[in-house]
Amino acid sequence: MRHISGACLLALGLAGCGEQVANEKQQAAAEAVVEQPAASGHSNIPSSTNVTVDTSDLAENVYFGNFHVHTSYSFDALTNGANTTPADAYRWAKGEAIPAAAAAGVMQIKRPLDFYAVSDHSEYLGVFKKMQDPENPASKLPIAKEILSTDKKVAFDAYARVLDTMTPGMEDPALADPAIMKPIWQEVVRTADEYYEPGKFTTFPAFEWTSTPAMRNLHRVVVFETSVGVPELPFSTNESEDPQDLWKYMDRARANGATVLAITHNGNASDGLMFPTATADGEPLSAEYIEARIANEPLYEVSQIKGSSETHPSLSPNDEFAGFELWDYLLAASVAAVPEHKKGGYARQAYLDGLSMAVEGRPNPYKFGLIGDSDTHNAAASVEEDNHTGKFGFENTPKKRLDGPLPGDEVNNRRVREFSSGGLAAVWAPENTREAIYAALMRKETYATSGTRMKLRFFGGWNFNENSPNNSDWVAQAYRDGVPMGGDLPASEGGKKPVFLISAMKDSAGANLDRIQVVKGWVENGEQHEAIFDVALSDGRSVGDDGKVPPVGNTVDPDTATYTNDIGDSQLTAVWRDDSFKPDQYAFYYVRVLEIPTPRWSTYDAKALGRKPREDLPVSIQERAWSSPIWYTPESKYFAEVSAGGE
Amino acid sequence: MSLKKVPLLRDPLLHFALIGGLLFAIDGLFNAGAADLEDIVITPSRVAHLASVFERSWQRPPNGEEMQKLVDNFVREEVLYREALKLGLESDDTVIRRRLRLKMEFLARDLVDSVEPAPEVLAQFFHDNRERYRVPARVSFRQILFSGDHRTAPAEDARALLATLAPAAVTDVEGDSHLLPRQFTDASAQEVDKQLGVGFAEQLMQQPQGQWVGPIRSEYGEHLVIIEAYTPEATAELASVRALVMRDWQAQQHSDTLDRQYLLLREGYRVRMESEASEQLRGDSASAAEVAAR
Repeated sequence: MRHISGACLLALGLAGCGEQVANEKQQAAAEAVVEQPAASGHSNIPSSTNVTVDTSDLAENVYFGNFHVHTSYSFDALTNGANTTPADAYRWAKGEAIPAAAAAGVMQIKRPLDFYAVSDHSEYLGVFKKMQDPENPASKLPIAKEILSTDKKVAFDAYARVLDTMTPGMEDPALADPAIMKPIWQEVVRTADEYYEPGKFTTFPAFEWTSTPAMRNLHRVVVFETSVGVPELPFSTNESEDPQDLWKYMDRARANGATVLAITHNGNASDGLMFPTATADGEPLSAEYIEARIANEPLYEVSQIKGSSETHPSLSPNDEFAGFELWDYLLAASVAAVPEHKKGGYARQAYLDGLSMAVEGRPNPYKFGLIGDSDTHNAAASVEEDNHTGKFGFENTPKKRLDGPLPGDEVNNRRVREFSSGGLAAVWAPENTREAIYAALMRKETYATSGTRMKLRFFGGWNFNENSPNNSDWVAQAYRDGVPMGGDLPASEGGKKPVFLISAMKDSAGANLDRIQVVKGWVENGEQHEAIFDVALSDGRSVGDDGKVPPVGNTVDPDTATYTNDIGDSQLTAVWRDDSFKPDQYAFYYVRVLEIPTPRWSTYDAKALGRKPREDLPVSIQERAWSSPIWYTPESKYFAEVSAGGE
Repeated sequence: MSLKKVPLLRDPLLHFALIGGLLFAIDGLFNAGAADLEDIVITPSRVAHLASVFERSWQRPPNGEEMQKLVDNFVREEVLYREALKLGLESDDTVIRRRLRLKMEFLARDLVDSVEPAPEVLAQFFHDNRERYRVPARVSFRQILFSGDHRTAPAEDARALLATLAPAAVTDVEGDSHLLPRQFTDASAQEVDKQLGVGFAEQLMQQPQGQWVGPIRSEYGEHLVIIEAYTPEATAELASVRALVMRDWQAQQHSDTLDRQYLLLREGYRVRMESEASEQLRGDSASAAEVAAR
């Protein structure tokens, strides 16, 4: 495949890659194999088998945390009311109460997180915080007065103006002074080291590169494994808004001894620029671009405060669960501009576009894993739906969140109300250390959640049998005989069809599970296809003759903002074989697990204010998890890739 | 010999160091005895600094022409900077004043980072804040799940199995399949509840050690458990939490040091408020209070 000529690439119609390809859906649920629960009775208790598997290095534990966290050291966090430091953020994640900004009171998570990385914007790092100090030089800059205004609208507009001018060559030199930034960045890195407690609580040095060409979101969170070799300064969009320059910075950091990756997010606000299939000039993506993207960006935040971006209803019209917590805007502060292009902005479509590129004989740049994350701008990730404190400091009371923090600015108030409570990154690792978690990120053994801490296992292989998950050591066997989430199926074995082992357990403090779905995408005769299979259903439900599944129900009481676990199951398991599998077709499979409906944060807020929930927001939502995919590459191609990789 | 073959001689930094030196020498030659002239010396480290600032923005070293402009600009800035100081322009410039204050504060903070507290200082801080460093009770146990989803009577099934188990047997019975740890090692109540739901740890901690007991209810069903080790809550030894204590001490020192530095320097000044000024302060008490709060 490396020998295809340029002319041949053009003949394959790369220009067409930029156009919408119809998604042919399958109502495929009838093909699902639903694993029935074991019969009751202690006579049916399985014993461990005598097979000995070395479990010392197995990723036995799932850890929950965030990599995308801002504090007052971020220019927009401070302008919008944050008063917290990186140290405050780590203390919050460990369970301590920290002061909420502006409004009285504290923020405290009910259940501490396992890992956390403060990733403030690298642009003007720390300078805005200094503006708050009336004795500080920066506070006399013309813009400082507006940023520090007690009038929230004026402050928000000032933030918007800085965001709008944050392009290379336009930065205010006084704000971007390395002499100010360097000590602040050193403090950020040092603070991460100070709060790291191996085995208990893991931290990472990190920053966010905030490229926003024409209000389109190309942001990346850059995470260092340790403080070893971390460059003197973070890379900002003031240097370049081209991700290829960020990757060069990361290469220089590696040459300096650092270990570093970048995480993309909010393709939904990129107007199709996050996952391009061609350059701005319509040329095919260069080999350098694709190689660097694969090497630097193993993960994507599919769920965070600025919405979920698994798929959009217009891309997946037959997915009844698309459209979950969408935030369909560009990053324009003054107008509610809606992105025109959905393709290129959502994960599922990117996976399909990656397969199409592979079919055309190019490397697939979009084999990324999934995590959920926060994007809080006030230190506290606030993922607990019933303990939500908003994205910005100025959203710190239920009234500010529901009525809007900016009186009279309905454009922005609506966007604040449509913020999600953010998500969590779930990571399978042998222990809670920087090295173990970072290694899991690189191999994509991760899943995203919309904030719940449900557990999810997903393995693919050729030799699993129907009883596999009933064995007590099934996880060890699955690692031995297959690949976990984020992996590639090995070459198929003589006409076999792939089998997937999936097991999900509800959050120990959360809602029961509704169902497990497998989302499959493949390319057939040059056309992209996606299908959704309901592979495990709670409450003894089964797929009807029409392919439809009866809804799980809804126990949410809007007046009291409560639900009950009288419906749904605490655990669901499936052994699913893909009977539609064709060995010559590229494919990906990922798992989506839905909880039963629970109140949205805005419903809890309405209850706190003694009101009815707002009618322009969902009263209840089905929180969920999305696994990293498992990919299949046709055999001849598989070997071609392996050998090409060895060159 | 072609210059192209000798990378060092093509290096613009070297050129400018050489040219700078040459200019300096020429300058000295022609102006010998002109005592009222000030020197502006372009050192190699100055050239390297200018080049690195350029490189940070452009991701490449400056070429010869660009380097020339950087040096010209530096000289121009240096001349005007010195003249401005002679006119005293820095003293009423807010930006300059506050940058200098910032530098003073960073200096003080860096001092804290380089200071190692005396052992007794850290010990005293640890003593004063010892509640912060308590080590919670820890328990090691194994558990067998009887799933509430899969069984009509999980508690009865659990009791039936318990009757067949030798009190402290190591059993290969694993119960229903699940994604929970089968073995917890030195887990705090918080860690146990995180996995099994709030309230499980409290029930667990009341059980006798070294024998199978239960069932205990969790969010997922009923469990038989055997506690293998239990360590009660304790105050930490300083040695085991020294890094945490050090971190907290430094955080405290950062804020204390800024205050101490200010108070110390403040002693060298007498502040006199003119009567009109104090009236102004009283007249606008709200904003005065706000300033004080900051």
